[in-house]
Amino acid sequence: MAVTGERDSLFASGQAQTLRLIVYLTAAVALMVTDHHSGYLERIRSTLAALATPLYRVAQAPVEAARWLHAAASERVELKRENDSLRANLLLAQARLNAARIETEQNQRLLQLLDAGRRYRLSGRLVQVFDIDIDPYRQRLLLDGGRDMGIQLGQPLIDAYGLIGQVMTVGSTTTTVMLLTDPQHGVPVRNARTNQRAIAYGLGRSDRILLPTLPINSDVQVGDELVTSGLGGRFPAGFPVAVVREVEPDANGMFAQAFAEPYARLQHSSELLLLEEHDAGTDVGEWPSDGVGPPTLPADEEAAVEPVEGETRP
Amino acid sequence: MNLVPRAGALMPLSILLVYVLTLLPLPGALLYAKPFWLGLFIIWLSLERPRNGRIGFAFCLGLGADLLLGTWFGEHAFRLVVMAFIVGRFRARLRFFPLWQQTLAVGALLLNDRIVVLMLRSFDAPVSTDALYWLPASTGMLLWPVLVVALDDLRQRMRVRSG
Repeated sequence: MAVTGERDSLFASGQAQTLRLIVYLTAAVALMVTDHHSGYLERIRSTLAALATPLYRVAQAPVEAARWLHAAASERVELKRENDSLRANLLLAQARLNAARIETEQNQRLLQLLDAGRRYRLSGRLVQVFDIDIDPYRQRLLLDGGRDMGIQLGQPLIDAYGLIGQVMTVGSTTTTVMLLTDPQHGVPVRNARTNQRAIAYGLGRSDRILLPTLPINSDVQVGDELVTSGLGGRFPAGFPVAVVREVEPDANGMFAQAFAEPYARLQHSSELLLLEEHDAGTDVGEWPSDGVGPPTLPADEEAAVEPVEGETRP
Repeated sequence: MNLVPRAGALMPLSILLVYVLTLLPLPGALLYAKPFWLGLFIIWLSLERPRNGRIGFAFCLGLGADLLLGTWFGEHAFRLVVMAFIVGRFRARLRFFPLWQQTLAVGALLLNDRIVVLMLRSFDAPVSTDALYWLPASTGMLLWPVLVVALDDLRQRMRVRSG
């Protein structure tokens, strides 16, 4: 067996090898092009991805072991301190949340006064990120869960700091997320200070996104906060996205462009919040609240509805 | 002398191991240094166990990797096919290089692979790279002598055990 193999490789005609190369490369290119342009390969992939899940779990195992070791080895005192600081943070966050709830309520009433068509209520659910590494140069994440969890195409994701991206493909048990830093990704944003609107595009780097072609005289400063504007309807309004780090004229000097640094910890998140928007009318009760209840942003709506009825009446 | 039947039993395990190594998350900055395990595997295979159909094997291995990693279907296949072809072409020479020379050659192969990736990705969208982008080629190259020595040692042991 080995001997014939030897002879094959020594005396196989170069032409046959080259032909084989060409055939396989063409096949690979054809597959890539079809994958890029059509959806049917995606369906095959999402079916087969279920088979890959055990492999993901195996690759995940050393990380979990390391985490466990770390937890076991770290001092009690240290854990206590960490616990204390976390509790303090939680209290603070809770207080802010309460303040925000009151404002949301007011906001809701004002919106109703303005007769702004549809009202949404937001809920979220925690999803686990597969801590496997796809490729640091591809701005993607893989989630543990897919159609089985009711994840849908285009759903936005956030972490505790800001916007992460959106669901790109949903498999039966896994989900691919396109990060907002992907070159194909754009998100409508609003400058929180000036209310100027723009679209932020990914650059393929995890620490920068780009606001191209701003009017040259526009008031954008380093340190400005960018939040989602809610235009286009894919991302709900008001979530922090990035902070402006550089502003400069673009190549031909006709426009300004700004580079911003995403708030979200794109490389280090192990749990993310998947946002779900409902028309206010639909029932939210179907969402299972496994441990962490879906935080419903607007407060009880009947309270918001009653007074408005009275006040709009002339 | 002949290890082929054993290799048949070992092959699925090796493939799984290579896939798991590829998926294995690395902490922090090490992420950028992760070697192209699949490429090293294909190089080693093409050097040590020449057989017809290496290119086909590389193709299938690559498709598997594409499924696992969520890259374009065919990207890894393309990279590995190129690699298997080049190694197959220069196999006679590469095999009898001293180890350090072989290591340099592997480095060149891995560097070429990075260029191939850059080429494939740039069809889609402009790609920005930095110095870190080339790091996997060097880590792969530095790993090569270690791998060769370790695998040779492993083979010696198995040979002794199997008589």
